[in-house]
Amino acid sequence: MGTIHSNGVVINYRCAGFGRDVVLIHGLATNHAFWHLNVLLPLIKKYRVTVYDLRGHGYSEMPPSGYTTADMAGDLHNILNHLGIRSAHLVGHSFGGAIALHYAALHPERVDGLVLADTRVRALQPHQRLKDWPDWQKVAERIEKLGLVVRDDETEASLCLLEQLASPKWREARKKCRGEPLFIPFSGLGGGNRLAEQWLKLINTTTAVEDFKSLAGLTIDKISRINHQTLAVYGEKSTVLQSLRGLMEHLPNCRSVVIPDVGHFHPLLRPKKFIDIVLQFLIGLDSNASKSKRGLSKTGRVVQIR
Amino acid sequence: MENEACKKKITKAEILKDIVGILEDMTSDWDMEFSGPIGPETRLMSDLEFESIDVVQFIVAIEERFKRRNMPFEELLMEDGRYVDEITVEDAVNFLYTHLQ
Repeated sequence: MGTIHSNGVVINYRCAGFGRDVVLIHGLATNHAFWHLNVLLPLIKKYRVTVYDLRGHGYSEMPPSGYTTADMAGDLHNILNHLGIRSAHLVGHSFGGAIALHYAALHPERVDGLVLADTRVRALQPHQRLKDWPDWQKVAERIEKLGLVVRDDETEASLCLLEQLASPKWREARKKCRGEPLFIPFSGLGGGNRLAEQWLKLINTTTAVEDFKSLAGLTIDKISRINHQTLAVYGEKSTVLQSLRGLMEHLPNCRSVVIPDVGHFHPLLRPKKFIDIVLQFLIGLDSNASKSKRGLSKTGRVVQIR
Repeated sequence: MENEACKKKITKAEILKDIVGILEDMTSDWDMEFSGPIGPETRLMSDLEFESIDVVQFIVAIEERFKRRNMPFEELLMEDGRYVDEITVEDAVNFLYTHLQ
């Protein structure tokens, strides 16, 4: 583990393994441990993997402002520079995927390939209502039974649920519902109480919520100019399938995989499936990159161009 | 490279001392109800309020202290593909005693 100062903010990171570089970017209300068991450990057998805690998350510092995807792409840039990584595959879940996408738009030369796991892209999905959930009636019943409230006209359903789930009155409920997909946030080891408190502090004492909602310049036009080979992995019951449809329409080199029977947290719920798909994609990209860097000289000898 | 701990045939008591030291360092500025000394019976989740990120930090600290990488921590941490609900200091000591020999 190590730390860097990124634009005045202490960011916690960790590097493991050997090989080409992969950076894993977690989503909101979690930290780099999201990746550890099911993704980092299998990946380090073939890659050098860097994970870090987003600002305001995990062991990283929580500044009063600066939580847009552009700000966080800046942190990623500083980490890559600090570690001397010229280019890397970026794998992001949820908000982490939006950071990866934004980074690819700002620094295309530093990105080898993109994996976006259940990422909501705000330019492509400005609103997220409960009714966007494929099983929304079943989910709505469960939410109501538990005493959570998400209004029909709520356009930020996930943020609304996260705030309620983090509240101290849900402390016991979180323990009881551990393992249930709706309760994955803050339902990890130890009941996720510190994680929940950290989330409440972030949304109540910083500009994070407004910053999360900002496009910060990542418009559809900018997205349509991202040429990287991209793999979009979404859950069949995801709340952000509108983003997947938008990506397939606007990203020039995007292919998709939809994991059956799971929603937003599919990397945790179907970890083997996720890592198999990601490894196959990354190894395929690396193999093609190696071939394209080779060419035949006039004498017919294979030469390494770079 | 064989680490020094192995050469000396490290004892459980020595491992315990190191583990307790790591945990005391990690939790020294935490605001938690647990106030007793950390010992074999101490539970990482229930007593020290460990969350996933703390477990990862704990593993990294162990790897650095014992200069060993690639120990199969999954055996300590996972059951049926997910994190176990509880780990005691003694669990960690026994795991290390097995894998440091």
